[in-house]
Amino acid sequence: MGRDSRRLRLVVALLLLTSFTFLTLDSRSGHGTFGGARRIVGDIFGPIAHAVHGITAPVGRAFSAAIHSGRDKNKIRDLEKQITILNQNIASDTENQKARDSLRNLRYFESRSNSTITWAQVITHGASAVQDYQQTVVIDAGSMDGIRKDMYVVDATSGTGGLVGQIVEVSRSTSIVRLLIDKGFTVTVQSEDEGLTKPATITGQGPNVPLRLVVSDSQYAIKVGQRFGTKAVPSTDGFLPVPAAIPVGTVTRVTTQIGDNGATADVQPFFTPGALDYVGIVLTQGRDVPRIALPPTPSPQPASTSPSSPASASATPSAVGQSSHVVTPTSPAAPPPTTPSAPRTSAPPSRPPSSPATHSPSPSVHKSASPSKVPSSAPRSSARSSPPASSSPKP
Amino acid sequence: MTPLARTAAGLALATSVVLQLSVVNDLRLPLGPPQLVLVTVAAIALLEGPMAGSVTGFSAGLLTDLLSAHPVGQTALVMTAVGYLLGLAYTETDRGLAVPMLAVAAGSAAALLAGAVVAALVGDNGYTAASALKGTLAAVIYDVLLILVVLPPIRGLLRWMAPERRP
Repeated sequence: MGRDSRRLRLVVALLLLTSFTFLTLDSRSGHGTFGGARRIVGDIFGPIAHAVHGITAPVGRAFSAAIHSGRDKNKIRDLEKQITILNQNIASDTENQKARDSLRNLRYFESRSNSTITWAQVITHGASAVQDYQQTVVIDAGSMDGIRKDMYVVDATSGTGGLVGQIVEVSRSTSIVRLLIDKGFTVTVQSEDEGLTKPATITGQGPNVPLRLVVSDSQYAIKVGQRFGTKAVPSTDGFLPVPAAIPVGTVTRVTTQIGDNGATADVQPFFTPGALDYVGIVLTQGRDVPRIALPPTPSPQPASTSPSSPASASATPSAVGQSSHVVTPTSPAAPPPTTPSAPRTSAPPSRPPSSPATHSPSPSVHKSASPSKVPSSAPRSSARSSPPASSSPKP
Repeated sequence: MTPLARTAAGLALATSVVLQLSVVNDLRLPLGPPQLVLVTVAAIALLEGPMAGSVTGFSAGLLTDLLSAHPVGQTALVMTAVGYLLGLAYTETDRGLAVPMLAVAAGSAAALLAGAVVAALVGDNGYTAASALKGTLAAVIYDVLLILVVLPPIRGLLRWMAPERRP
């Protein structure tokens, strides 16, 4: 007994010491020490999590729908079964619809911001299996898809293309995105309208707390409803440059108009953290970037008029669970959600003057420069959206 | 623990990590997520003792750390200690559910609070005192219920994989 307990104490002490050493090494080196081990574990668990997500996402949606529809189990058990089957069909249809919508959103954002974007789906909300207070999501694209550390991630679920966060860890087929709302996440921003010349930053404050805007110019008056987007910061020391023109958020409340360190305000991001589904990763950005590439309306793509408008219109009623949240962030960005019947007419007044001009020349210039990345996203969409569709008629 | 029981524990652990990430975190329950990995470690510790508890806790923590964006060792440190402490409740948990439930409540509270402190010391200031307390409250409430679901299958798995051992 005595020998056993001594051995036990030795093992526990060793394990604690090992953990502590790892912790010291890794936090000192800025997460560099265990890069290889992280990649290996990510390579093993990433595909498993992806596969499980593929099963649980539509079933879970149908499951919650079934729970809400059937309170009196004894009476409507048969109906419940039918509803579950139907909901599974709806869920997979919704899945396809959402994939199509998000792809269109991304294409549009690509041309607006003059950047090359690949797209991915969120497979887990939160990267840590034990609570760690970091705001992260895991996406199903990795180094094989050209993803590198520090790349910026935009929202493709809603039509805004708003900044979602930044890549912090990459394995072969998955990566971890640190969200904009994570405490301490800071990005340099510029105002939608000109006039702000001094530096400004937006910093994450944690979950369910608005972002904080700090403008170092104490003479500058921040207005509620004002929109901010990323400002290009040139690459130094081998870091990736910050792409310009990604919408970051809308001012909801001015907290300090004139303070010692400048003015501060609360900012609401353009994405809903819990409703994140499809995202785009900014691979490269060309020159001639507009100030902020904000969308004119929730239903973009004026080129393909007749097929796209019923598709986007049906996206709104398909708001079974998540899409209802998706619609909300667009409402501060543009007035059209109140009048969805005629969105295109109200487009011009809400737009910055620079973006329509760059919209037409940019795609031709930049897509010829890097044509390989753009078509690669098209087969991904069909490959991903087809399995739920083929499996749905079976039951 | 026999090699077979170790394999069983490892399997249970890996499954819990995948389920926590893909399913449990997506449930978006009020207050915060249940801690399935923590409950799995607790179940193994309660069934197998402090040695198995600390080793399982360390493994679970290390796996979690490698999959996440925070420094490696942050969760391993806390989970090793919690696995060990929960393992100390081993001898009294032959039958009944009161002791496991109490132990899991205490273990969850300790793990979440200690986790917040370690995160703060590492410089990962992604939380507030309020969010840490909310997360702890959620973990305690949900984990006490979760152990009722997790303990029987893990007990069955361990007995099935290592039938010669008598608890």
